[in-house]
Amino acid sequence: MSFFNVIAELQPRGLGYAILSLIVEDTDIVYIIVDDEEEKEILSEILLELKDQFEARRSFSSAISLRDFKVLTADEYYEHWEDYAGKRLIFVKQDRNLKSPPLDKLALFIESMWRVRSRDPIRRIAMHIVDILLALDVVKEHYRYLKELIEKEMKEEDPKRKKNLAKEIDRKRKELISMLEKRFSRREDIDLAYELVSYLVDRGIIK
Amino acid sequence: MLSTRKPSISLKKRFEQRTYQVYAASPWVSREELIAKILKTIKRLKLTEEDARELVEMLGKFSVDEITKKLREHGTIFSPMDLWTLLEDLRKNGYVRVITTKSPAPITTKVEAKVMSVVEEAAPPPEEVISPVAPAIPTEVESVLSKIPIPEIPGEITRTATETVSTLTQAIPPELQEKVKLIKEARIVERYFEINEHLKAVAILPREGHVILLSMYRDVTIADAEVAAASTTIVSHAVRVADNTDLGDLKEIIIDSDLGYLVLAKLPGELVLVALFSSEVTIGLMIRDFMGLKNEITEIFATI
Repeated sequence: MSFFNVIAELQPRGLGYAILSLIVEDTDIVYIIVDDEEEKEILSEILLELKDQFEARRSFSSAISLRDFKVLTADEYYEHWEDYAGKRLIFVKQDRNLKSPPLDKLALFIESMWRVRSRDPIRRIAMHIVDILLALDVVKEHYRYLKELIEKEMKEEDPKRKKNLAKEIDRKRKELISMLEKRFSRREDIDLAYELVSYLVDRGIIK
Repeated sequence: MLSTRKPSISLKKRFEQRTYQVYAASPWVSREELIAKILKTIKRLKLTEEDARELVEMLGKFSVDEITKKLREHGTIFSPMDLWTLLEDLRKNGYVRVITTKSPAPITTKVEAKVMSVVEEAAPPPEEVISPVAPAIPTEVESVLSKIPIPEIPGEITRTATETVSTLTQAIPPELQEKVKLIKEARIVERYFEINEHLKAVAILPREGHVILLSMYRDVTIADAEVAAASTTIVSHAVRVADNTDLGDLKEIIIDSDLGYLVLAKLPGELVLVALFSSEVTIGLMIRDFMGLKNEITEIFATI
């Protein structure tokens, strides 16, 4: 079974959800559940490629990390489900409809690879996601500062200072977006990077 | 070509697992949005905004079973199946997802369980049939009876009785036996005994009422010939009445008596579900749990 057939089964959102879980879950390891051995094989290949590329390109000081993962078939999981109690489970098919703006954007990108039957799709998907992850390291400090400004502005009662803070927030936001625009040409990629950095910083997943 | 192979997930394991699932709200959905969606999804259960808020608070921390128990403690009547159905509905729409499961807690309620190939009174009492010794007869009767030749008691009666039982055991189709085994192994009925102290007995009968497919009880059993025959007859007539009067599908029949309630419903494959609740139970809770139990058992029998 080829990559394209597996994506037809999992759908771009399913693959996107598995990838997203490696980025945003706050556990050391995630257990990803798919239907059968063929899906397990292809999905493992994609996620391993992503991890390998990320580890090869990330800087030592990077705050971003990808979770370890284990892909299980539904049979493997349900036969021993008691052993996985308390572990972070990712049901690729059942939960791929999750309401999540980053997942929407990730799925859109995967779909574009799938629709055009791009050459070497596994490597290209991994490379693109790693590009976005590396950008997060660059913009995370800017986002943190932006967040502080927003909080300050919300608490501020003096109208003049509030207005100045609002201007500063606007300027900082544009600066952040401009940093992302230098790295990515597509609007969806910029939005995805922004969504991810805000999620990871807001929840304290990256320090 | 796309693969059409479907996973052969163990049904038993899947049924066991689902009420231990921990659902969590999507991190990208606001609490208010989720509460509004819950209230819209389960209008039928008349949940208050406060109940929905409490439910949302528990998401991500507790399993389906645990949330059901906690909601009941606060007076919100939910069966595990109601909650599971609601959460699965929200899951399909992307509002929640399953993030983990809880370890299965041991069921502490002591429940007797058996599959009976014959209903209790239908089985010939062994001492009457087997004993070759005639019972003591009053002397005045004995004089009359002495003139009548005593019929010879066949020596192979014990064997005949055993044969009857084994023939009836064979009369339960293996597929049906398998499903009943699955219900027991998935501990479906035990879970309801655990969450509802007023549930006293549960039985599954075929339409004919001649065998008890499953009888589980505490304190009192309903697995006897008369209950079986009456229950199946009542359900069969009620189904016909509902059908003839265009009332739609029969949901359940409640027999209200001084000491308790007997609740009956039709299951797929011409089977009947009977449950006995003590009189202290609130009607709403009884119906919720009975319907939950019925739905779970129906899922298993649905393939018959």
